[in-house]
Amino acid sequence: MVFDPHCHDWKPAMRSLAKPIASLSIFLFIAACTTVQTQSEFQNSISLSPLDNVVLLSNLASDQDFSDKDVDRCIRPAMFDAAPELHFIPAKQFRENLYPYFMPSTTPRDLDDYRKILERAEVQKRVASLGVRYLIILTKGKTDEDWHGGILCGAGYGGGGCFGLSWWDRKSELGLAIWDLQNKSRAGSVQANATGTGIMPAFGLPIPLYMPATESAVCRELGSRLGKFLNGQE
Amino acid sequence: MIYKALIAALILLLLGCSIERNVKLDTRLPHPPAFKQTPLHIGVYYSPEFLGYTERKQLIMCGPSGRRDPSDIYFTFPVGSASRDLFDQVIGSMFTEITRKAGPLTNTSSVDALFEPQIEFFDWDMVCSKDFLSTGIISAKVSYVIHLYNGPDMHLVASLHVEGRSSEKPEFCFEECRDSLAAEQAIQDAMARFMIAFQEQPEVKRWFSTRTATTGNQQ
Repeated sequence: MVFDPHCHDWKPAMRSLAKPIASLSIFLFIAACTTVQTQSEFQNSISLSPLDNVVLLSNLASDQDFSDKDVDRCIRPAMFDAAPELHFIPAKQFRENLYPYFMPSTTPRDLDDYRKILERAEVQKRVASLGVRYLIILTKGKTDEDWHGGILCGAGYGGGGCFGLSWWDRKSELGLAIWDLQNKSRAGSVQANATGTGIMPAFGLPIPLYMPATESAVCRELGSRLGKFLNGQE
Repeated sequence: MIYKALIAALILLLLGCSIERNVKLDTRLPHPPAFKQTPLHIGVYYSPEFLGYTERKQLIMCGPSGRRDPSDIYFTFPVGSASRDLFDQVIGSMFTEITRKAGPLTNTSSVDALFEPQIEFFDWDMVCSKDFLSTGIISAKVSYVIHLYNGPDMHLVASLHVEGRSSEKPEFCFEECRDSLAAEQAIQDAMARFMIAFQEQPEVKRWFSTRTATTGNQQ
């Protein structure tokens, strides 16, 4: 957005440009929607016992954008909708019990790392006491925005306002790995991305017409897939 | 806490004042670490420099497109005392017997080894995103060098460099607010790294094998 206090003759220009901007806004509004693509790979179908718990973790080693709370807010509601019988252990409780593992510098990265940690008697004891069967950990998480167009704002003695059109492409990508802590194996992975375009025309005030909720679309899709998998439906 | 500080800063800014805040750090873990104890008697020496180590950091605000705006808010982090609290707990979970030593050379013949941790640096900053409506993430980093001396002759066995880091989003909070601003977790991360890296160091492994053979202890 550009603020231009020296622009005095903006009212006639605004009138002549109002129609094309309104038409473009309507076109973008019709075209704008959020699309989601998902990829998943599950090793075996599973059956969860009522005593098995699930834990959701962010990846503190590589991701600054998603904390444990963000991952929980993102994935858990949709997982619970798909599989209401699932029991979750809070990430904080899991990390506190498994210290010194699962800290930013000590989070296992691959199957070898997981096996090494899970073979330790003290770790096995803690995992068993928490009853955690599946660990779902974020492997990728980012949202990018690319802005186009422009909005011009001006002010004079007779008043002020903004005029123009901005739209932005938004892409959210999330990936999660599922580890079976009981069998010391990788149970699968799931990733999804969602893209959408937001529109913000300005006739006096810039007001967003459509804001693409790409992140929540990805969260819903991933949560639903994971819930179905842990429920034995996939 | 950051938002309370910001509201106070706004008021004090109008009065032309700056804010100084001593951060309280509680690095102690609610459970003993999931770690196997080694049957050795270990001495620990904390130097006055280590215990008194503090860092004063200025809060940076994020302006449009990632602009960094220094504020008049300063935080002081008691890194030394917070590190000691956790190191005590960590060492206690790694070895069966621990003795705090008053000096680096005080009666070391009674212990199998002596640890002396030193703080190399502590860094704390706000990382601003580059987008127009820039948002910030608080980032903390801490680095230690931990010396391990052989007990009877005070021969230096190994010096381990460990680094810990953490980041967290500034959040509105009304109850159960944590005061640490990512610093506690950075210290915990470094100590977790130490616990794991310690066993993997070739010099430490060699020393362990000779020591446990001498004392008849099994790892």
